[in-house]
Amino acid sequence: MRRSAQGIRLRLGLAKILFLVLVAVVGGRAAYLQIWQGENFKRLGERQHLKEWIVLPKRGAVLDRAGEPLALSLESQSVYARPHRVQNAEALARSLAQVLSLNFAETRQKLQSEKSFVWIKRQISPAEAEQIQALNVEGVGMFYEPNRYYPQGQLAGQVIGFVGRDSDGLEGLELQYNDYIRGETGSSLVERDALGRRVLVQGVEGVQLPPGGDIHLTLDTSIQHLAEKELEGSITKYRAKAGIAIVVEPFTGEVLAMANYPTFNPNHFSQETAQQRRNRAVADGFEPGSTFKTILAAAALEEGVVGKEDLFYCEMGKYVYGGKIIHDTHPYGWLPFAKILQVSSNIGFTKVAEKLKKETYFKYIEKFGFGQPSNIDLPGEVPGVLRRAESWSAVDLATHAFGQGISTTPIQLAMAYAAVANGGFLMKPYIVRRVLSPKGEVLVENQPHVVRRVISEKTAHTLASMLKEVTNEGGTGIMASVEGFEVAGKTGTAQKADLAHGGYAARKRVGSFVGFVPADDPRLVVLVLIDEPEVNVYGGVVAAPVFQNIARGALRRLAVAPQHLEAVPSLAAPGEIPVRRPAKNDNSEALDRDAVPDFVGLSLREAVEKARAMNVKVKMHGNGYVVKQAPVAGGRWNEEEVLILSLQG
Amino acid sequence: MGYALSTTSKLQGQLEQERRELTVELATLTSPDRLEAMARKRLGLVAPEKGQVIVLP
Repeated sequence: MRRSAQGIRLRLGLAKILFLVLVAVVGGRAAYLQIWQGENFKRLGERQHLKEWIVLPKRGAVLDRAGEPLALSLESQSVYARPHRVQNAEALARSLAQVLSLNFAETRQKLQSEKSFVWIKRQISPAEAEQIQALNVEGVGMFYEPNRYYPQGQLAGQVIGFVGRDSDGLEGLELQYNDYIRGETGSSLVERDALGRRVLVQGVEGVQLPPGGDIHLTLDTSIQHLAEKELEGSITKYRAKAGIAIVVEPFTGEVLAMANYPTFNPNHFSQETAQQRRNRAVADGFEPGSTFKTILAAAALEEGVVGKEDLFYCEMGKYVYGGKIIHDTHPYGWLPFAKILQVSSNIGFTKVAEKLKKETYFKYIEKFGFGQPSNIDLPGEVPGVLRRAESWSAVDLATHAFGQGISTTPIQLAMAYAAVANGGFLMKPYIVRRVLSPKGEVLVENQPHVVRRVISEKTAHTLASMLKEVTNEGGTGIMASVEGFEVAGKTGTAQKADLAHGGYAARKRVGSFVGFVPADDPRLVVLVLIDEPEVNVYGGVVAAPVFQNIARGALRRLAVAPQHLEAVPSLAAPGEIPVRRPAKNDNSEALDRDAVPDFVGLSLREAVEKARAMNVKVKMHGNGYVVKQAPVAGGRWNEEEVLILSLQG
Repeated sequence: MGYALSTTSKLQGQLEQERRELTVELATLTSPDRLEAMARKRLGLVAPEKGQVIVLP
């Protein structure tokens, strides 16, 4: 019994030793793994279930003055691979090609390349992303990449600009305000479970990156659309090369519309030409032509060298000055200053410039903001080109009097007219009202900014009353008149410099109209410029009707009531309001015969030919080009079925 | 707990993304260019003529 007790103790002792050894071995191994090799294994483990998550910035939106979105960002995923980590390139390429509908050979080539990082496919659909996630292969991953959308397409495309793939604005407002709307980039670690799903984000605040701010514009989408549409209409009708329209609020300098034709769609920026992307309203200089006479008139009135009724002899259309002959389109004798502006006499204005002296004239050109950038919040603005008065010869004074030998941007010219409209203040134009952070803090705010007073209120009013005559009977801008309102403005038809041969191109012209409405209480300044029209070149014909349509629509949009309530149809007889039904196929012929054809813009001879061809009776007044017709095109015939055409040249 | 949090935040992200997608869709569908084309073609509307606009004083 004792022996057996001893034996038990021995066996217990042996067992104890055995277990102690076992514990020591296991403990040692554990210590080796945990302490000696711990860091190493931890890293290996994290590589399996933690993944770096790169978060690209969330770009802010661009909204019009009513909050209508013009640019928005959506996130879409892009697939990348790290070729040196890929195990079985052949199989992986096959599955990737299948999921993402890619070319198998190309994908395999990418996966076998020597690069450490290759894009497999960018901006994939959510369904594709899910399948990639399900593959969960080492060496393949996805980035969230923001994708920019411009829901209104080409609307204000050149103004908004576009964003490159790396989330940086490359043109327009996207470039100008990039720092505010871009948002921040960051990365964080994400834990994955066995199926590769995200479990917990380490440092949650790490991915809550502040998105970029939203840009609120002064642009009005409706007016912008109207301006683009009207511009395109005239450009097509007169086969012009390009065109620009600007609508500005004269008292604040807010830009309501800035249209360029040809248009540019930022959704497909890579397919469009650099020429289309250009916002020529700020980036290109033009010789203004006769629209610049307003600047000389303002200077001459302000300096008191001429009065509205002062008479000048207009030399019956031919005047030798500084060794050159200056022509007027129509010969005139003695005319008062107001009439000289109304008929846009070059000779009359040469004489006014002579009285004013070149130094004084130049001082006003600079005061009106020419030769300096307007500092509008858009990139790529040019200051235009001025030649200093000291270098002007006698004939240079004459050409400057009618807007030649000087280069101005459309926005400069619009702001100069805004100064006449608002009683003499040159305003700084702006297109962004404010930039708001996602929390609603104001990051940028633009407010009306007076650059300087240019002319007195009295001069501005006198000039406005003279500019009103331009759109009245006998003026060059009659087609710019808007029913119910008085319009103040000026036409221009400028020659274009011949860049290849020097001097002026024989045929190329820029037809323009700049003005404001209502003349006595201006709400809008509208500039229209038609570049190289072919069918007709006169600003009063190619640009003035565009002004008319933009102004009419914009005034309606802004709910400005007409000053003259003329010809209000009686509400008691609604049946008399002509209602046109859309043309249906079966009776379209009949409608076409009934509708009055469009004669506006034709020359005298063309009008006669068209009338003969269409068997339409016409009565004509005046010479040159048709500026007005009654009844209007597309309207109803009067009882005598005679078309009355007013011509001017 | 962490898993639930992550799932919920993922759902939130998805819904936000969906909302943005719908905003883009809405803006595209209501762009003036499209509206005008629809008004003219589908509804046969035309711009009002001179006599058809009545301004109430």
